[in-house]
Amino acid sequence: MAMIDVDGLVRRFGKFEAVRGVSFQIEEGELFGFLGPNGAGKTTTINMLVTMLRPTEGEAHVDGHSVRTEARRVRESIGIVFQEPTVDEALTGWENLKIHADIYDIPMATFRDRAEEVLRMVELQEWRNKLVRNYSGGMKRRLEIARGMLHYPRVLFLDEPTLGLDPQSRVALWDYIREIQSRERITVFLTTHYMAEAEYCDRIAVIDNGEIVALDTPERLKKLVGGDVITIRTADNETAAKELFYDLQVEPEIEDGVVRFEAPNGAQALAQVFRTLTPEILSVDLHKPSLEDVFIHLTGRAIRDSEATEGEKLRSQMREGSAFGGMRMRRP
Amino acid sequence: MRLRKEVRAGWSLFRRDMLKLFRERARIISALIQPIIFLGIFGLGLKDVLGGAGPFQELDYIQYIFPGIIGVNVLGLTITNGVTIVADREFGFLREVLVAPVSRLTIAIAKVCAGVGTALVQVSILMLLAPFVGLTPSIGVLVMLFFAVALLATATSALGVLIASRIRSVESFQYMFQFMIFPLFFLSGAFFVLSTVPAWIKFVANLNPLTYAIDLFRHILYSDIELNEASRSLLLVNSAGQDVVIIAVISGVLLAASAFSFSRME
Ligand SMILES: Nc1ncnc2c1ncn2[C@@H]1O[C@H](COP(=O)(O)OP(=O)(O)O)[C@@H](O)[C@H]1O
Ligand SMILES: [Mg+2]
Repeated sequence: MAMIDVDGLVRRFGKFEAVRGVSFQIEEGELFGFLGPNGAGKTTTINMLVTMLRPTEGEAHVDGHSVRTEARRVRESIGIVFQEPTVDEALTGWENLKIHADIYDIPMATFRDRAEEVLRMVELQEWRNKLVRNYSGGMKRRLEIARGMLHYPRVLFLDEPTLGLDPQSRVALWDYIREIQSRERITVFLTTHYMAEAEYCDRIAVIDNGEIVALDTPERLKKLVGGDVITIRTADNETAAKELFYDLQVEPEIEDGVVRFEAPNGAQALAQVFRTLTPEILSVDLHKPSLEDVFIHLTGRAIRDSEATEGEKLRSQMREGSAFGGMRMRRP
Repeated sequence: MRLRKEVRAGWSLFRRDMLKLFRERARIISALIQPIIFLGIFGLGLKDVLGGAGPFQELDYIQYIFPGIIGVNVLGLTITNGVTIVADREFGFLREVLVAPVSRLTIAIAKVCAGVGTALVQVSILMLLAPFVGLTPSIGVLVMLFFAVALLATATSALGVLIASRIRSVESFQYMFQFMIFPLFFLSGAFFVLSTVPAWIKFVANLNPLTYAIDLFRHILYSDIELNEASRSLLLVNSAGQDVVIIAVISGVLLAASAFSFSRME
């Protein structure tokens, strides 16, 4: 049986449906990523899996236990790092671990060795007797991960583990996560809205508006995009988009002042662009598809757009200033 | 087996709150500022207005309101207790506790015990002021007082847990308590003798749990003082036994309600 088995999970808040029937399985030892913009329903899904929220409909099993009827068994099987910090800042790192050991009933003898071990994994041994208040953001996150690992969980849930960290700490944190996962052979379920980070996962579910729109390995997801991704900036993006649509038979879209399209053979397409396009070309970019491109391909918008504030949206609309702005042309 | 786990978890959570109390000494000190101000204004200030000895020959007015000060201090501390629960749940440590394989009942009981512990620490410090107002309780009196304080603190802490489990934001929690604490305080016999007030005030006061707690504190704190029969019947509304039973019943009801409500919380 799968380590995590989710079947038609729905959660409504009043009339609003935050999670709209998601289903997936995660095998033992997998590093599984939930990728989607803010408000997609990632945290709501995690909260149902860790028994902090009751599903409105559907069922899920974690380590063979129902989240509806066997909450306590589920809780014994899992470790979790919530999106918001939950370490006690007025206590030391060690004291935080000690309380965790008490509420998970880890025998005292085991606790000391295990606490040393998890602190070593996240390189916080020297900080163990300092108040958590004095830790940096990255250190607090690492302490939470160490704490989540303390009781040898079968599954570790990480909700946006790198949120709010600087790029350097984020890379380092990923190294810790990968190392812990391979050393302890545990199943990891994590969420992120950083596209690039999802690359580290074995498999990714892309979630948008409470629904899973794709689920596969990062490589296979990238193959969904039709070949290469080309972005060009021209003197007249609207005309350029029309010409690309009719002459190159591609589906261009205008985003942030550039025209973006996908082509099976990028180099060939680019040569044709230079030959035929009438508006002056200011810059070009050709790259292999990233997960960012996958998200755009699947949802028709960039993940950062779905997070843009109203002000930012307004500004980018004014920049684009065209009927094509933000729209996507699709072949029937 | 299961019980041993719950006791270990509960003890650890209780210890955490106590540890933090002693680590954040500013909280203890600031909790004392309010009673000192009350004593200053109502005690020393009103003493002159009321003329000399206050309502009773045997007692100063300041001695008269001292039990009330203890009562309101214990009640006030439930606010802090409840606020930490609400704050802890929304963005903090309590989420880590709530997702652990620990019964909610255990968590609620640990929180109430921490409230009682905090109350005992605060009242201990408050009692250091007692000699300055002319009250010199014996050890036996202090022990009885601590018992009575623990009883009241169980009721108020359970009330704090109950309200915290129903309320989402720290602001609404504080708002709600501001709203509750003053009527509770003023209609409790802390400031004036209930035997002489209009019937409707007396009626409301009789519904107020704080009335019984303060009455009990008076029984205990004045037990060393010679009171004549008239003063005694004016000053003390119920018998000490009645007070204990009533507060114990209220505590039990609030404790059950708070544990129930806490365990239903999402
Ligand atoms: N307790 C709640 N009450 C009402 N709406 C909620 C609640 N929790 C989340 N939501 C809404 O559900 C949607 C999904 O939220 P969430 O799961 O936190 O998204 P994510 O973690 O992917 O950013 C959001 O629109 C959010 O506003
Ligand atoms: Mg989230």
